[in-house]
Amino acid sequence: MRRVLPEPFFTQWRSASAVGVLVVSLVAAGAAVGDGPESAERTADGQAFFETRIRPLLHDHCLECHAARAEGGLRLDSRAAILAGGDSGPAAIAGEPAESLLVKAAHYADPALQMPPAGRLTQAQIEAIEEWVRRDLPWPGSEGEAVAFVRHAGFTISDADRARWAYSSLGRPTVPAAEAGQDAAIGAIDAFLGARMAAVGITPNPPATPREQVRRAWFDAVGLPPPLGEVEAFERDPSDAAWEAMVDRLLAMPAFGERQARHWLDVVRYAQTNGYERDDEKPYAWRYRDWVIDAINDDMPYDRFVREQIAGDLLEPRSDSAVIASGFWHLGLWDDEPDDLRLARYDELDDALSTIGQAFLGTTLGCARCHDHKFDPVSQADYYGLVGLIRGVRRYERALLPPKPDAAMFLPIAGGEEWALSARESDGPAEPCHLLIRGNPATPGAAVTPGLPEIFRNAAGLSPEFEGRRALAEWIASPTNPLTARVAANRVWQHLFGRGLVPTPNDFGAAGVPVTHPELLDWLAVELIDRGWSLKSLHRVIMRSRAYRMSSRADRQECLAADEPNILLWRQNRRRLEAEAIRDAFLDVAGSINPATGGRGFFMDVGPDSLAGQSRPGLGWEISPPREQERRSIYGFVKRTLLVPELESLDYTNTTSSVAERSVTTVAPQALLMVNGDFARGRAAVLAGKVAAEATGEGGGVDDETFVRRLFERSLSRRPSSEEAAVAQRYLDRQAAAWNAEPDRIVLRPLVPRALQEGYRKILRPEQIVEVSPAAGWIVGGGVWGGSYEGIVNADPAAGPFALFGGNPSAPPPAGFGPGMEFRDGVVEAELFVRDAAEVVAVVVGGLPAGDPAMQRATGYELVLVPKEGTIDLRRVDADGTRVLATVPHPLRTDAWSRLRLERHGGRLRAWVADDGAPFAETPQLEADDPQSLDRAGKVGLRTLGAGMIARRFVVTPAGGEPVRIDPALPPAAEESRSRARRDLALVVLNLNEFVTID
Amino acid sequence: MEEFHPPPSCVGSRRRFLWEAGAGFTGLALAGMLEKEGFFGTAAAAEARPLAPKPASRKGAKACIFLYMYGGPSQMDLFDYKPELQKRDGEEIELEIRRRSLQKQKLLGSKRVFRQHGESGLWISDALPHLAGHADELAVVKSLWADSFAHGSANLQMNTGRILQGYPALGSWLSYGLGSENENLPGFVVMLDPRGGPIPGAANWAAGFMPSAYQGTVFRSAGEAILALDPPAGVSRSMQREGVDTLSTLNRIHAGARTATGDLEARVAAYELAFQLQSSGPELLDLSDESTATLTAYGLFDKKGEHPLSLGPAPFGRQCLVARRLVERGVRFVQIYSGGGHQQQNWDAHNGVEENLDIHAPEIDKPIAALLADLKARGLLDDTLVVWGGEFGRQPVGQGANGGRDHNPKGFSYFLAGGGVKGGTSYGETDDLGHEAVVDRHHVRDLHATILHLMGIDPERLTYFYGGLDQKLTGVQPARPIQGILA
Repeated sequence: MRRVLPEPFFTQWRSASAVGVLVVSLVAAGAAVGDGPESAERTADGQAFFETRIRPLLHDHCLECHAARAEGGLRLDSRAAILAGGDSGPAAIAGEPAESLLVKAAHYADPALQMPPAGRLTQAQIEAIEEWVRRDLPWPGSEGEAVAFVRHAGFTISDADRARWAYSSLGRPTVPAAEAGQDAAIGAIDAFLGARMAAVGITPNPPATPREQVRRAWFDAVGLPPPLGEVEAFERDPSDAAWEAMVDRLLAMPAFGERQARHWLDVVRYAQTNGYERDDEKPYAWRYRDWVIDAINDDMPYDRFVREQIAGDLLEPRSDSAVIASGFWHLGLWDDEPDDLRLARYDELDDALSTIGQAFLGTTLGCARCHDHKFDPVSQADYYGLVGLIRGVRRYERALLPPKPDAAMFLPIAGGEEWALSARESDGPAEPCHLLIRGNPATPGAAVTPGLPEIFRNAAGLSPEFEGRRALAEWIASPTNPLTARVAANRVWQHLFGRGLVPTPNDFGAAGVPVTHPELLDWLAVELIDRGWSLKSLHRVIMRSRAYRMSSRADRQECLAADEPNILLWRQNRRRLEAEAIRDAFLDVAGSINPATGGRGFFMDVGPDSLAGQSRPGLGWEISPPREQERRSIYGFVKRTLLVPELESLDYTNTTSSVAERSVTTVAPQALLMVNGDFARGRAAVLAGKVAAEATGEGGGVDDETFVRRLFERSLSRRPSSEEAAVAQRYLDRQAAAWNAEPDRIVLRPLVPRALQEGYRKILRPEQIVEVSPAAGWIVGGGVWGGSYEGIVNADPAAGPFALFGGNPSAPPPAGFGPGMEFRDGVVEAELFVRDAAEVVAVVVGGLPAGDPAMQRATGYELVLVPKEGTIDLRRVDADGTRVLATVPHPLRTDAWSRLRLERHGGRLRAWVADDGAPFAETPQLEADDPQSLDRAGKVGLRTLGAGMIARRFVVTPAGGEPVRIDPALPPAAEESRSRARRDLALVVLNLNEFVTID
Repeated sequence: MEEFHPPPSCVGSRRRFLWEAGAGFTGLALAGMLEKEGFFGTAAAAEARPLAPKPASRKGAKACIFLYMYGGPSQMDLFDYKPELQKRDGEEIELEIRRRSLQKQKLLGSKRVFRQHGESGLWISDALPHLAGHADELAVVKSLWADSFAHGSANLQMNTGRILQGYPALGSWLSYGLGSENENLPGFVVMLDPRGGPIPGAANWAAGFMPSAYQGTVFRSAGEAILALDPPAGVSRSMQREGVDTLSTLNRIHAGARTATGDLEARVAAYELAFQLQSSGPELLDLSDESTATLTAYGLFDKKGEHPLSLGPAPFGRQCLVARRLVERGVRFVQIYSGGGHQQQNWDAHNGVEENLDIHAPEIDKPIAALLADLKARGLLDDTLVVWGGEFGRQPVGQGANGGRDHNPKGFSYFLAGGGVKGGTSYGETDDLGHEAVVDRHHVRDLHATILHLMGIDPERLTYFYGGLDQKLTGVQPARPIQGILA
């Protein structure tokens, strides 16, 4: 279906914009506005044709004049622009080469219409254009999107560059006539948006439901779901006054800073380590993070926010807070052992300059390091002029100054080393400032005067002495800087609508996606400045608009026909929450979020895989207690070379360079972590427990109906529909029945890789090395680790992590057992599920833990399966080591159940191993008589290395006693089964689309 | 070779994904589920399926297995035969040992015996006797060079094209450019050495500025293939099914009241895929359908060596076999690390090159030989590119008392085999001592260009717009495929 762009759409736009350049801005951002992608040839063939035949031609012969310069009102850098044409009419008519001006001009037939002016194209090129038009002008991406063009060789700044919206001076645009009765400040946003919509004959969506509005505001402002009471109160009184009061409350919450700071930390590529080989900690980086949170919560004026980060160490009067802010300079990657020191120095300056350019100015300055910027009016000389402003800042390094206990940045750390996070200026005269040919420090070029890029120089009205970071900070923070306020306002908008008015918030240049509503963004930028650079105030203004509170439903045909991608913002955007907001919401609805703020942060529990990817597994990572794990995600320690799976799978930021927008990808591993992962399951259990307590009646039983209702209320801030309640009830019943059908099995699983950096190994307690479930009655040991090489130790396959069964210490032991379920002689039978990855699997009898608690081994007798060797052994383990008493080959089926039987009479042992379902042989596979019999009692136990194992039908019969089953003989009781079913239902609710999206 | 040309300028994520959405989908397991009205029409939906295969018309190898010899294997002891070096053993010369650091050191001749193998007469040392039997499949490039003398930045360069952290890995580029033939599995799989990961860890398989869906997934070759794949204890398959169904039912009720539900449907599909993966994952690792002859050939029954750091061929062999199974199932890029941690735990032979080869050469020799033979026997070798090498090579001079060798990025060897590679080729030369590439020199970026080219991608045209630039794996400097090794 062809959707024809209504003519007034363009006309309105062209007349509304001061600069012709902007004509295409809308089209470019309009994406699928206009012809749907299906109308053009979008096959790979068409793409290839465009790329090989057309793009080079447009690039070499057309775009110098017919892109940003738009000579004759014509641009040729997007399909829509070509079809729309310029002063002479459409440049092409799809499928009609003979009627297309583009083709006519190329033929040079009409003396008044000959393009390109420099000379006729080759016959092959002209035929390519004809063919292209005939094929409906295949175009990469959607037709509205502009292909980037490359600036022509020989750097000059054209009038078009100076006139470009982003570099033009900022002024308050006239607000289109607002509807009567509205406060002007509130009405302006809707007036700007409404005027654009009116031009194409559409109107904004009605307001979202009160509940949707409240959820949106809470997640956007504080990154947490609203309590049910907030939703209900607003449902009862959905007045503007109630809304404004709620917004004010949200902006005043400390959680506001925690939420908004995370956006900024993405932009400044915050991390707490240096990256590269050692990836050592930056000892005070967290102070910067806390500074950002506090600055936002205190509503620090944005200009000061800028100034303190860029030159906080140079500002007078000196304050600890501003000095910490200047830690901005040392957030980046830092190679402590660079291959080439000179190059590393410039890499660091480039990293800083690129980040400053993107974060504060929406300009990709880094592109001009090796050559003039290909898209934007920034020359290589401009780049090195800026380098000249910042070159005085010292490398991140060990502080040479003595400790100053009163200074925020100079706290002693372990080993007596001093590190300064704050920026500091080098002593002595400034290094000469040169342009580097192709960015190579080995080939310095012409001398460069430190200063601003040419395009900004005149406007800034700066003196020739302009030099240094202080001056850079003042210029960026100036209300006359054309970019700063626009970029900042755009970021606020971006996080409230899911897309910026400049959809590429780090790039306001020609290669970014053009601004969709320039007047509105200018108006917001001026508001920001006029409101004392108050970001909270700008939030308030936007959140009070009708636009912010609109429904996100995309069901109005006239709007979909005119603007399906919602460029004109006729509806709000539905958004998936970011990784941190999802994790925080898990904690919050479970009622267990830890409100502690600030500090070095906590180390999120990561599985063995994350650690195994390190060259020294565990180095630089620590274990934080469970209550710390319940802190908000922003307080999680950020280590550049270690990925936290829960965050990473949900499109966590890239900590190495500035990130303006998080990706939103949907892949199966996310689902796995959110269903099977320890964090998600743990939260579901807490949530279900809390809700069950609320749903417990006087008789002590949990009322399902109440449980389901409260679960929805807590998690989704609403009641379930009767249909949903029925689905939930059915799941509860079926899941409870399933739990009630099978006895539990014993599961032993390692929580860390089998090789660990020694320091990390030492901080682990046994229960952090190996886990047994159900845990009741079991004692775990971390095993012996040794064979240290380069600081890495390995779990000893002969004496690795283990679990011994000690029973209930407060109950009298069954007949035949001593205290702690110990016995000497007897028979043990069990069925084990042996993983293929398992190195060693063992059943222990006479087991007692021995040795230093940090290096405990299970002594006793063992029946050991070694799947990879295809052998089974009988071994004696004592404090001195392990002795194999007997061994025979036995090819074991892995990833399958096996049956084991082990008999002990003093030092005499007999053992059988059989496949699942097969009977034991008459004679044992293994027999041994230990000459140095361990003449003592002990516990029964399990040991595994390399993979988890499962045990069932684990029966111990001590001599003279009755058989006792170690694993549960019966399925869980009805109430326990229902409790698990409730946890499972809670997990389902936490995984709902509704839970992780904002309408 | 007809190459696939992705657009060189994909400005912004929205544009990128719209391009992907239009690039044609084939062979989808869940096509019926996903092709709901509007699903492909939205950027969100396209972004929801980052690994959709694309495009159908590409020619080139289907998959790549990169055997990464972490630490930097010694070229003059394996493939780069230097009789002159053997002759001058013990002679003192001055060489650049680290950047701008000239030092006088004694030459260390290889203790290895070199022979010519196959019809091509390729020189291979006796450290790799099994691999030598496949000489005619290999194209050995002896004249590579890189920029860094340090493991961290050299690994990053070999994996991401830059000595700096923060750029997408080769596997990410291939996943981004080509998608996966099997959306039930990750497009980019990494298998690590049991002794540890490489320096600097996950940065070697990170997606950098690309969406994390393109990052390498760490895969275990036994047990639970990927993180959180196994349901917790006591949760049966039918209980999980019930959970996924309940989730879907509630999600559909939710979606029923909403519009343009592509993003919502994608999440429903992801849970279904995850559920399927729970059975396809174990099946993938279940080697019971492999013959004993196959398992034997890969060295799965071989014992560890004498050295305490030795693992023997079994772990790497198992990873190679799993790599073949991954490739058979449509995974695009599999990277296996030989060596982990530090020093002699990997190919970093400062403390004795003979000792190092004793540990590591037998660990890879049989497995790689078996992999090549197995791929060939199954008709997969023509469609599978096999790449072998580390982050740099080693110096011709000795280091330490035990005959070690220091890092050397100025000249080192790689071999490629399979899809589109001219087997039995010796390409390029280092100087007489094996120190520096001198004939037909190629920077690492040319190796990357070669791999992309063999995968059917024009290396100049696979770009990703980030930070104001059309980023390329090969960077801003011109890169060219190494023509001399192309079939």
